[in-house]
Amino acid sequence: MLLVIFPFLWIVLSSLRGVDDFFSFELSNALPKTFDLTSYKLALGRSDLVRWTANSLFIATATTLLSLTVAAPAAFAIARLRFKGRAAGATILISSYAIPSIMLAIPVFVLLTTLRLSNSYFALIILHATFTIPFTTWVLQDFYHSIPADLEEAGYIDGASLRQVLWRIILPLSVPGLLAAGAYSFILSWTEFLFAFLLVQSNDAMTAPVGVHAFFTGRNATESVMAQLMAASVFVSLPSVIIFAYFQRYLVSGFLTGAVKG
Amino acid sequence: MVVPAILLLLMLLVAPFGYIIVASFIEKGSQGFSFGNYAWLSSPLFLPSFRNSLIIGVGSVLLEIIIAVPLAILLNQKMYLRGLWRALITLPWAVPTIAVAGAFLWLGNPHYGIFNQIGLEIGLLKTPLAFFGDPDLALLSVIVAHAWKGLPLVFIIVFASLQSLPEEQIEASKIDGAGKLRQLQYVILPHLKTSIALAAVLSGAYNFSLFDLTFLLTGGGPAGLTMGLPMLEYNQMFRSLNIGRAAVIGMTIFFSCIVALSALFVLMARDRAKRT
Repeated sequence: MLLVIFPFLWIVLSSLRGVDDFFSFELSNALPKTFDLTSYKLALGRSDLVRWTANSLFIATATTLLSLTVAAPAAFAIARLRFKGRAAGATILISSYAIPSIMLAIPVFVLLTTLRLSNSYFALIILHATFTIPFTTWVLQDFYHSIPADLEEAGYIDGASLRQVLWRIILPLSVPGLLAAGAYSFILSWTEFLFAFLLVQSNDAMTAPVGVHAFFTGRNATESVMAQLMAASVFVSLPSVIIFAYFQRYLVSGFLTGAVKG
Repeated sequence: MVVPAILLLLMLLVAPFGYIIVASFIEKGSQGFSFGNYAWLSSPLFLPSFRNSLIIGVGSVLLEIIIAVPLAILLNQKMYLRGLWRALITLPWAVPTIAVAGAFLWLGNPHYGIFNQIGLEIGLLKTPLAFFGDPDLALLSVIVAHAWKGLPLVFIIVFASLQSLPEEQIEASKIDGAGKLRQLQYVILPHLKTSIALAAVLSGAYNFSLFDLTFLLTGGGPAGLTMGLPMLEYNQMFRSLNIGRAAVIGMTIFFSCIVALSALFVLMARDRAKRT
């Protein structure tokens, strides 16, 4: 079990070791006695990490709001309503998830560069929605199945219309499901690399993972940058890891089965 | 109510898909439709990448199963801090790929990586190993990194399936005098068969078509030895500017995943038919 946690634990420890003893490794010294934040200061000072993080926050939040708005009604309809084309709709939604990102990358890149939409938040939000919408729909329809139908039926009996039932009964009941699905959609968008990397080249619009890549790895990956790369890696992991730590209790099979995206 | 979701997805997924199909029939620098790009699939540039992708997909899934299944069985027992352990095992899912790559590049660093330092200190190694630069080691190291990132998925699927195993079945086997080992052999593992197959195919397809991790770890090097199909597609598209070939590689990735998934569904259906 410790083996599983080790890689992440190790970068956290390494990032806190400071720059002076970063390379002087001794087993007795593996757990740093004092936490030294020099690496973080250097990483944050040298790059626009704060700016990139703000970009990522904005993109992930917007993606999440967009996908919840679109996915919640769709999920409810698939779970509860009987209408023509329900099965087909559900199949299209779910199976769209099976298309690998790298395959979509080509046409999307060509299209967006032609439309001069690269380097825009808008394009990236829409692209992230292509995988967060199927994912949140999947998670939410699972959730709606677990809400007893009696409550809605009571609403209909009292003469409420579908719209009133949705607003007054379903929406308040959905809050936990929406929060969990939203948290996962946020994580998916936050950790996404490929689309963000292909579409956004300007320093001002970069997402945090792409910024870290551009600044601390690749050409710039001399060993003296390693300490800063560790600090930056931990820094970009923090938001998604914290959200995950809080919501992982809702982590049922459906969630991660829906989380497969290449 | 489903309409907005479907319209958005159709626009964003089906239209590009159509574009890819058309592009795959147009050879670079020529007019009109041809099968030239598909013929290129038999070239020595393509086949090794296909093989590498298969090795990365299958290899990482084997590792994931070897680690995740025992962990899931262990954590299905009542134990101290079970929730915390489960959270820690599934944590890699929430770690951005860039940080996964950072972690493994640092662990495998030829000069300062911990494995080299320990290995040299206790005399296991004579010279430091370049985990991601050594032709013999690079593919293996890439597989390990993929397995780490993919472990939560396999763990959760297997764990969820274990929780659905009725307590009575275990009790019944105990009454029949089965020890822990026999329980495992005759009750637990047969119950897990389907979910392990499901996890294997899903995670395998994911790792087979994953671009980011290989790109960030090795970029396909050394000498193309870790070059999988997604990395090759990226190179064809953005380095060689050959959209036709990139499209054909994309189609190959997609249909490989479809074949694997269909095989899984056929097997599952047959299994279900046998049982009823």
